[in-house]
Amino acid sequence: MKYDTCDTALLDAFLDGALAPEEEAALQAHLDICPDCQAYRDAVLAIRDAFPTAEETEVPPGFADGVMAAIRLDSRKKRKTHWGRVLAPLAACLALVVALRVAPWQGSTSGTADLMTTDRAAAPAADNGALRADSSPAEGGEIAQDAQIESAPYDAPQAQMSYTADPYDALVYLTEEDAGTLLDEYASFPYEDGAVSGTAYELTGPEYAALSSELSVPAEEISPEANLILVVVTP
Amino acid sequence: MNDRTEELQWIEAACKGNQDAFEQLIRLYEKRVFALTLRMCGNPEDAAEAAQEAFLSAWQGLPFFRRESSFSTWLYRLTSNACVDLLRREGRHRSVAGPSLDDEDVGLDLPDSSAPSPQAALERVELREVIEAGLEALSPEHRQVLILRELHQLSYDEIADTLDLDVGTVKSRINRGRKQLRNFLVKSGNFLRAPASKEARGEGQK
Repeated sequence: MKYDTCDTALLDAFLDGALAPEEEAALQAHLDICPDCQAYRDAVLAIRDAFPTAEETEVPPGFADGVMAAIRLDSRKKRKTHWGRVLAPLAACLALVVALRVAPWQGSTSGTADLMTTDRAAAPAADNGALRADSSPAEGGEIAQDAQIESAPYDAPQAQMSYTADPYDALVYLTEEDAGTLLDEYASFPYEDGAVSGTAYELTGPEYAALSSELSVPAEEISPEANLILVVVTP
Repeated sequence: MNDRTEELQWIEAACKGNQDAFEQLIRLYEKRVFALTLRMCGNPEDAAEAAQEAFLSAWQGLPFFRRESSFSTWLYRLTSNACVDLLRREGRHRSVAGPSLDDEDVGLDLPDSSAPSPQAALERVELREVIEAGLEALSPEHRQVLILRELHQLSYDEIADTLDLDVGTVKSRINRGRKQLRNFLVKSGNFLRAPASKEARGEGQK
């Protein structure tokens, strides 16, 4: 076999180790005498040498944690499927009860009380309530037993959110506009889950329930006993 | 225990629903997955979304993972699919359609007209930046095969398996992608000579 003409596709296969030995020998013979093919080879090898590498790829901090949180949230939802079916029809009725149960909490929750009394009338724009609750009480057969109720805002700042423990019952995403200054008194920590980044605030259900009227978002979406994280998303 | 054995054990455990093992796999592969999504989606936000989607699909699909391909090939396939889905769903085709770069045509408009002098010996890192720009200018099909080949170092057979293509298509896409990339580098002053016209003649004679 002998190659008289230049064939970059063949040369590519050669450079990628995809040729049979006899083809390789024939191509090598052509390459030895063909400046154009040598130039092409040099270019391919230069590109290869300088090609971006996986090692240098920057992965957003907390990406793996974010994926695992989504997986755990998903598997929880699956475990609760039949509860969801049972409870779903009741959800609407319960909503009222939930809202009423929240009331006694408001006075006893220092963070909330402070927040309510020092409200700077920063009523957020009630336009597009950009809120998403990732779990709802209708699916929450286990929420009550999982929840750790905290009556004060979380005050130990963390460099990064950790999901090593059983994660929170719900993540609520807010825009900066929605949040206004309402969350300023809560301890915050940077949040990054691969999909969004921003500032996270850890709240208990009652705190959230109290806030939700200010935030123009429905309190009944979240169980009053749930632990949750509000994430103010940085655009 | 070597890395490969460890990885196989994680795969084994993750198949059985072990979340910690899967987390190890995410950490092992996240850079390689991002390396692809970042260049397919064109911005870090979409890249993160597609990467997350790929890993979630992997988690959900693991119980059905048949090991006809390697785990990495299977994961790259899911990654590729996630990118395609995201681009389709969001209609984010801006950077994807990209300017069409002709294989043979050298000397048209340059994205970067302040290109360094052709004589300057470019540092590898500078060349890399131009390669990134050149990749962006390729069609997604050509970009993808080149990344899988040069960055993930997959063989033609593995690329064919990953993208569900036949090997002939992989070969021709690699060739076309490389020629376009090379022309891009020539246009931006990174390679001195571009015997592209001669090459075209050679190909014409085939």
